[in-house]
Amino acid sequence: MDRYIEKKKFKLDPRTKLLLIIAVATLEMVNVNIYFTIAVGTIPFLLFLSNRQFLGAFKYYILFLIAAFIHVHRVNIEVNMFVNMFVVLLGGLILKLAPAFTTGDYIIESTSVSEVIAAMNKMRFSRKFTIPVSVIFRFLPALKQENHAIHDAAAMRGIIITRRKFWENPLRAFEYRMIPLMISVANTGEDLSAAALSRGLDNPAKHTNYTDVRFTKRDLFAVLCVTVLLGSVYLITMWLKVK
Amino acid sequence: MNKIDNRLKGKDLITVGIYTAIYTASVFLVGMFNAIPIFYPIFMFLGPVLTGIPMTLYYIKIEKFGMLTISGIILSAFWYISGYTWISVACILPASILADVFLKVIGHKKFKAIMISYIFFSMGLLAGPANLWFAGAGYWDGIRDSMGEQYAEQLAKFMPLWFLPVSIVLIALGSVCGALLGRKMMNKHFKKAGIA
Repeated sequence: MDRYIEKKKFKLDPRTKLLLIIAVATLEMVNVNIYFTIAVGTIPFLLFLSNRQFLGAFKYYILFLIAAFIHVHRVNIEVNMFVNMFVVLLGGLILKLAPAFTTGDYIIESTSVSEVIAAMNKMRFSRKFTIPVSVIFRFLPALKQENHAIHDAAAMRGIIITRRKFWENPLRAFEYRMIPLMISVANTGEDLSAAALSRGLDNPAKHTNYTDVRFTKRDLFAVLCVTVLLGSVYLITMWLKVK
Repeated sequence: MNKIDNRLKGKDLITVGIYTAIYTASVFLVGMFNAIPIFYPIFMFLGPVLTGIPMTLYYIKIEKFGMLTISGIILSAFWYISGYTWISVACILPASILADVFLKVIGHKKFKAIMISYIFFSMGLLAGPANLWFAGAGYWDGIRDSMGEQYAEQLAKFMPLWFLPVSIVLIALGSVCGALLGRKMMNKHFKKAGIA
């Protein structure tokens, strides 16, 4: 059987990715110390690098490190209360939420729909869940693209948030952004179901899949790396009693 | 009307996927405002109003029982992964199941049913603030540590426990407005475009 695995990228099994995002989402909410949080935040950075999304990786990591810096020095800085609150708050949000969201972005970027379906079949999910979830996976990038196109068209007419025309009638402007998006979503949905049905989505027989999903050495490597990274940071900071 | 097969087919499941995706996207868009404490109560009202448009579009495609429940299960998994503990699951699941039941009982595609069901479905938005009330002191410590003392104070000021019934009322009002807005948009745009 052909194996559709690109050699260049560091492909992980979707189940490993799921494990990683659950780990990141859970651990970043745990307050151990700032080094542990930074270690957790490094995971999506490494994942981005492994998927060759270099620009995104560095943008994210620099933002994250700035947020961590603000978090460490939040007590020392004395500025205007409102500014302080806003900056600390923003830093906190980035610190807590960005790692999980970035991992989610990585998963959506790096996983093809057939991989998702294959992995969910192996995890014995009912088809009532595999189909909607795979549609979501297929659909979120399309939604982003569509929104971008509508934004461009709106900018041409001067109804984007930075122009004055937008603020003359914000509700109207909102309507002009929302309705085209909805219409294209509905149309895409129709197309998608027509395409899927003509390929026999409703066939009750067992479906086969070209994509071969299995755990490889890469998965072992990734999980080991993450465990060693987090474990060592945790143990060392506990041992040194860092607050 | 001839008898419809009540089992969910591929087409229905695709519809579930698409509209769950767009609902999630719009909720997260509105949810960005939560960064500033004053906007937390406003979110309770504005969230259901703005998601009214996609949800109305979703509702007119629902013909079978169970679609909203599946949406609810996927949404709760999504909220759980983004860090809103088990309480979000406890909010969203019953809300979506109730919404499904009411839609089924009153009748699919009727405006009254859509409105009532949408009110229940929107109660899932309580998942965000519910952590503040029920997750206890540990959650507050986490907020105080990560967001700063001032944010925690502000949040406590704007989100006392008596705000729970108020926000339920706010969500209900917002859902009614959202359903009306959705209907208006439906008549104004979608029927012309041949979607509805």
